[in-house]
Amino acid sequence: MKNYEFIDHTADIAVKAYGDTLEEAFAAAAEAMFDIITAGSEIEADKNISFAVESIDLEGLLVNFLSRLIVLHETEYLVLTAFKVTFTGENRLEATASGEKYDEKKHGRGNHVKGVSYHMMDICDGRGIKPGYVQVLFDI
Amino acid sequence: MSRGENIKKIDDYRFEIPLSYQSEAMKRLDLRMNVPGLIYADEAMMESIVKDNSLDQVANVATLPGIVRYSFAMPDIHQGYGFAIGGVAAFDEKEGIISPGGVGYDINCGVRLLRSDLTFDDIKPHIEKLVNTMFNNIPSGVGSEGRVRLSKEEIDQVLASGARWAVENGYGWPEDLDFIEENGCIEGADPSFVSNTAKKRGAPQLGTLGAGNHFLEIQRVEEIYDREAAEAFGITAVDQVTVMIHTGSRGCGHQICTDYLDVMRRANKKYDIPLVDRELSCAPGDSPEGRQYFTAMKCGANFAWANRQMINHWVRDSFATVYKKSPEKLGLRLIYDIAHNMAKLEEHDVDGRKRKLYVHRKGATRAFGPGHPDIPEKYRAVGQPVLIPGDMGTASYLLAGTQRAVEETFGSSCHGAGRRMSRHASIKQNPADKIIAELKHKGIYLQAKSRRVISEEAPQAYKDIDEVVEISHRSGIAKKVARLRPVGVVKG
Repeated sequence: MKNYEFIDHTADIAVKAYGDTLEEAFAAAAEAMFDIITAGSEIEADKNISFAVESIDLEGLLVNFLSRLIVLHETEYLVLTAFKVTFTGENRLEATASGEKYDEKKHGRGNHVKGVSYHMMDICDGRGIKPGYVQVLFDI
Repeated sequence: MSRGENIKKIDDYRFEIPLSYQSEAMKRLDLRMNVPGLIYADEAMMESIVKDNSLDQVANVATLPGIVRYSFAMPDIHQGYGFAIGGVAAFDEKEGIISPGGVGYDINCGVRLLRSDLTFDDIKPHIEKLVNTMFNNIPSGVGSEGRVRLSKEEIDQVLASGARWAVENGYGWPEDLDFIEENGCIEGADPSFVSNTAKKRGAPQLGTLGAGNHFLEIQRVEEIYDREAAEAFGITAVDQVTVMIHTGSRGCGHQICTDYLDVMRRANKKYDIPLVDRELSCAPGDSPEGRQYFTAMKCGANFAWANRQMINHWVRDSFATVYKKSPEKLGLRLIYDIAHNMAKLEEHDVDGRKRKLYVHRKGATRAFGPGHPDIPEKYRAVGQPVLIPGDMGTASYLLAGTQRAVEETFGSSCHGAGRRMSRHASIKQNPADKIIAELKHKGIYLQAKSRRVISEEAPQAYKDIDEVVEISHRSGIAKKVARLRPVGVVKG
């Protein structure tokens, strides 16, 4: 059961991601991003990665978190899944994920994500369909 | 009150957003426009412009400090992030700001056009071979890697020297540099202000086309509107073959934008600049953050010019392979190379006084008119070539900049036609086989990295390029020179 859905947008791709907590919603947004990149292909959990990010506010934190994943994808050729996000302080988080090297045959050809936008961004903790909810747009 | 009601018609092709206009976001922060907005459009186009958020975005930009004259909207204006796409805004060097959102993620996304001595009859039997050869020679698509391996020192040289680095390393001809905006390298690009992350993303992607709306296109001249300008640019006859390249700074530029959006968000708080939209994050042009972004942006721009120079070289190689003749003998000369996502520090006449301005063109092209010292001497009598890429089934255009553009829009015009249909909708409505057949029927041979990109990039997903160009022409901010029809297309 996916914890995210795509929103139709003229130029790019926006995502609504959900979770029982805001951390889970962040993780679901990351899953959604790799769904875009791999056109929904299966990703095997071969390698584990972890990192920390921080920012000046929650919106910046979401952008920095997802942007770091784009960097991992483009510089280490990773596609990732099984995200776990833990908030470690004000506007700080630690994340872990598992994945494998991008393989054209396995992971198809999805869309190229250039960056993460603040446009249309919405972050809800305790409101909405599920307690944790984020809406974020990816610049394609 | 509908958005359209506030707008004042100046003439058939100019509509003003008055100072009294306030978007919802502006109302919440009690902000007013510092200058009016000016939209280049006709009545028909205004009807669709008022439907998305473009007007609000044009007005929001006008709240930024130090903006001069107008917040402009070119005829291809459509909703973007912070700045609308097709937006132009100039800010005073000392009193104004600089904003990464006013440039875009794909710094120096731009277009290059080559002319040739070949006619359509010459290439007709070879189109498939030409397209397939280019497709194999030039890496493209999601996850593609470049043909070159660069050391850390070399990537710094690329960022500092742009197309000049490429020529010095055997890509293309020295004279190409005369026919690129900024001669293919903006001076003052300091790679020490570009993050290692941006360099790591960029290095394996140098010399790659990318994906999405980027393309290589073999074209035939369909119509010549201005014989004098066309001949000055090297276009002499209908059915002459041209080649167009559309791509940008790849992951390098994207990361520079990401890095500095973060810097600017912090700077906004520091300089107490009221922010009507997060994507308008900015810093005074005259601040450390402003200067650092500008120099990093120049590096991103140089990366894109090196990229297009390398791809240019491989395009020439591809033609040489198929015709067994040198590119020189085929007359494959560069007409021009322009940027359509950029900020430049330019000197302009403002109310009789010369002022230095940070001119932001996001989805807009520089369009300097006849006599301007910054355009190649060969073109100075007719104006700067303005290259407008269209969708893969319709047409692209070659225009010339005008004196009117210099006087009104700081020498700016449109850049292309935006999307009118989401990727999702386009995939549903335009299956790849249907599009391939339609293009084939029009005499267009397409090679693409995936069936998905064919559907997403279907001509039906784009607005009308002819309309955008016609309004640019009739409003006087650019002059039609030639219409170019695609015959062979490579998509990533």
